[in-house]
Formats: sequence, C-alpha cells, structure tokens
Amino acid sequence: MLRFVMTLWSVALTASILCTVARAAPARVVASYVYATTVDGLRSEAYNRGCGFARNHPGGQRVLLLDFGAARNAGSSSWGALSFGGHLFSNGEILAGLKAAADGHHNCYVRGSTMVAYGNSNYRMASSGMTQTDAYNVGYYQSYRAQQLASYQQAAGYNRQTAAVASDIEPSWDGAPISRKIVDGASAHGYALLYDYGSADGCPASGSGGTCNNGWQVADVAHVSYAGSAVPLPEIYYTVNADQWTVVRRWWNANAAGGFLFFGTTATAGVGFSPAQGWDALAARNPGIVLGELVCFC
Amino acid sequence: VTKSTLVRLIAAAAVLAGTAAAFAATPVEVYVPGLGHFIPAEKAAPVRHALGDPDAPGETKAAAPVPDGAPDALPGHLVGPDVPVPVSPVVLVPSNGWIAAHGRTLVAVYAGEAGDGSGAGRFVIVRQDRLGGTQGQQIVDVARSGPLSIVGAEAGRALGFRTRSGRAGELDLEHGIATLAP
Repeated sequence: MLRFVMTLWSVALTASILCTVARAAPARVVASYVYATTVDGLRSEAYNRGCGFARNHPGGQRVLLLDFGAARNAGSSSWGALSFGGHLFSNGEILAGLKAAADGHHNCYVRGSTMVAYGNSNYRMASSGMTQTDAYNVGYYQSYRAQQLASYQQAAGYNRQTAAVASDIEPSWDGAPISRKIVDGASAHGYALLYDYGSADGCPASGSGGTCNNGWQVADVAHVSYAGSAVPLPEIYYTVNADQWTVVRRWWNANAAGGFLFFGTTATAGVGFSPAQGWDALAARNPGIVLGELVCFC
Repeated sequence: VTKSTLVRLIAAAAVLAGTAAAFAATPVEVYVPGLGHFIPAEKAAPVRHALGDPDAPGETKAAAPVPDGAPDALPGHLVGPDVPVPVSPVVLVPSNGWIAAHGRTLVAVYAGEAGDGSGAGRFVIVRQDRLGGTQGQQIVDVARSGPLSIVGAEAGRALGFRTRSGRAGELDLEHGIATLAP
C-alpha cells in the first residue's frame, strides 16, 4: 500500500514539474502588409494599424510588424521599399508612416509595450537593379530610421514603445550574397534589432547543414537570422519548417559563437499549422530557447 | 636567472595578462534579464534598444496627432510583375495578383500554385479593414489544377481565372469559393 501511495505521489510530482516547465504558445499579434500608394495614404494606413494593434494588445512586450514591401533603391543614394500596392516609398516617407503608427498606438494604448518594426523583404532585389552595396545600405539605413523613430517616440513621451527593424528574407526570392548584405548593413549601423521573419525554404529537415533553395546554404540562413543584430522570427507553417529551422540552429551552434536563440515565430492562416501549433512545434524541437513572440499575417 | 630573462618573463606575463583582460572585456555572450537568456554580445545593444527602459514612466497623457488623409483607394486591377507578392514561397508560387481597395476594405488576391509541390492551384486572399487596422488571410485551393492565373474581375464580386490547361473558373471573393467551369 505504501509503495502504491509513493508511486502515485511520484507520478503526481513528475506531472507537476512537467506542467511547470512546459510553456504554452503566446497569444498571437497581427502583422500586416502595407498597400499604400501615396504618403498621406501611408500615414493614415499606418496610424490605423498602430491603433488597431494597441487596442488588441495582449500584454507583455510585443512586436508591431509593418511590412512595407520589397527593399528598393529610391534614388541614386537613397533607399526605401516598393509597397504591395506598387508604389515606391523612400525611407523618409516610410519614417513618416512609422511615426504615424507610433501616434496611433499611443492614442489607442491599453496595455503592454510594443516594438514598432520597419519591415521589408529581399524580394527580387538584384533583378530590380540593386547591387550588394545597395542591399547593405538598405539594412544600414533601415536601422538608422528605427533609431530616428525611437528618438521620436522618446521625445513624444511614448514610453511603452520602442523601435526595431525586420526583414522577410526568403531564399527563393533572391541570392544569398545580396540578401546577407541587408543583415550586414543593419549590423554595421548597430542600433536596431533585426527580426528575420523569413523562411528556410528548401533547407534539409534533418542533420546540421546542407543546401537550400536558390543556391543558399544552411549557413546563409543562419547568417541572415542570427549574425550581428539579426534574430530569428521564423515562418513555421508546416512541420517541415520547424525541422528546417532546427537544422539552422544546429548549424549555428556547431559553427559560430553564442547559442542560437529563437525570438519567437511567424505564422499565417490556412496552412498546416495554426499559429500556436507552429510555435509549439518549434519549441518542442528546441526546448527552452524559443521566446514568447508570435506574429501572424492572418 | 639573468636580468634579461627576468625582463622577458615579465614582458610575457604582461602580454598574457593583457590578452586575458581583453577576452574578459569582450565576452562571447551576455545575460539579458529582460529576456531571461544569454545572447551573443554583439546583440546586446540592439536588444537593449528593443526592450526599452523598464523603469520609464507610463505613456504621456498628451494626445498624438491624427493624420488628415484616408487610406488610398485602389480601383480593382491586376498586379504587374514588378509589384512584390507578400506571400511566402513556402505557401504560394505566384502567377499573378489582383488588388482593390475602397474606403474601409482592401482585398488582394494572389494566384498560383501551392508551395508544397502538391500540384494544387492556390489563391491567397488578403483582406484588410483599413480603418480598424486589422488584416485577415484565406487560402483557397483547386485540387490538381496546376498553377492558376487571374484573368480579370467580373462584376467586382468575383474573379475569373484559368488553370494551366486553359480551363476557366471563377473565384467568389465574398465567400472565398473557387469553381471550375464544366
């Protein structure tokens, strides 16, 4: 009888410990694409995004990710992004949009704190005429604009906001050498944390290295997601994505300094995983090293 | 021990001490209490900027300016090949897209093939409430059709499309239902 009671107690204790250690997926926050075609429209759209995000803020520190579109040259020595509505905005115009998002967030503030992130992507940079130097400057000045946004937030007394940058870096969208330069430029500037919310598409689902789509190596995905000021916020839409990013983590830990840490996950709707399932799948394969962020384009 | 050997030993010890101090001053990783984790030292400043000051006072009570304008209206149109597609290649290998925005609502439809190599035709529909500042997304598949292409809008509530083999179909934008012509 005593043995039976002891066994029950042991099982209960073990279950209790496991429940304590296990971490549930965080509440998702919505990220969105920018479709504006005028500066006034951009400011209005961004203001409403900031307000909507603040109203639905689940608490804690979360990322308001505004995807302004594909990184592009905006002149002979200026850079910006081509919106999903097909309009090229300079970084100065994008900063106006980011400030409007900060204003909207402030006016609708309810709880928590928010990093307002200037997002772009490596979508067909080279075929649009961009060089590796341009891509470097894209990252460098993206970080610089985040620093300017932070100054604006502080001067305005938006004390529950900070600024960051983000990039949807997809192997299939452009080559590794030019894509890596976005991260190198942002890291050289050094102010802003850079969330890589891209994929590891075509990378192996097991092992600790190998080739991915479009001539990329796992090492390249590791670079754009964790070198310098970059941190990974990977798209986890299907089981294979969680496996691929686990390979990226293994590559980094075997070949580079400092332990790889996932800063959360990116989700979308209508795919294999729900947002929470994606976060859980990555956390199950990488216990204790997935932070509580879950942004969703959904 | 000669005097010169002693000088060399002292010099070597100084070099070793200096090197050790340099390593101690530039740790590979630093602990960030706000994250509860160690991170590579080169990320320390960006992470600190992103986390902000936990002791900062609350939000100012002063209201922020509100923009005068409204979100841009976009007549329904097919998206040119130079306009970026926001959907990951993991989800969609795109053929083309269509966008319309009026007042509160924006609808963008991207057509192509599922990114998982299954051969399914796929639409990704992005809907935005541009006044509420929210976004939704829906995926509509057409089994075994191969890549789909949007060919035009029909009365604003549906999009005409074609499969790779040339078969025509219609995508109901309101309900997100794709139907192939018999």
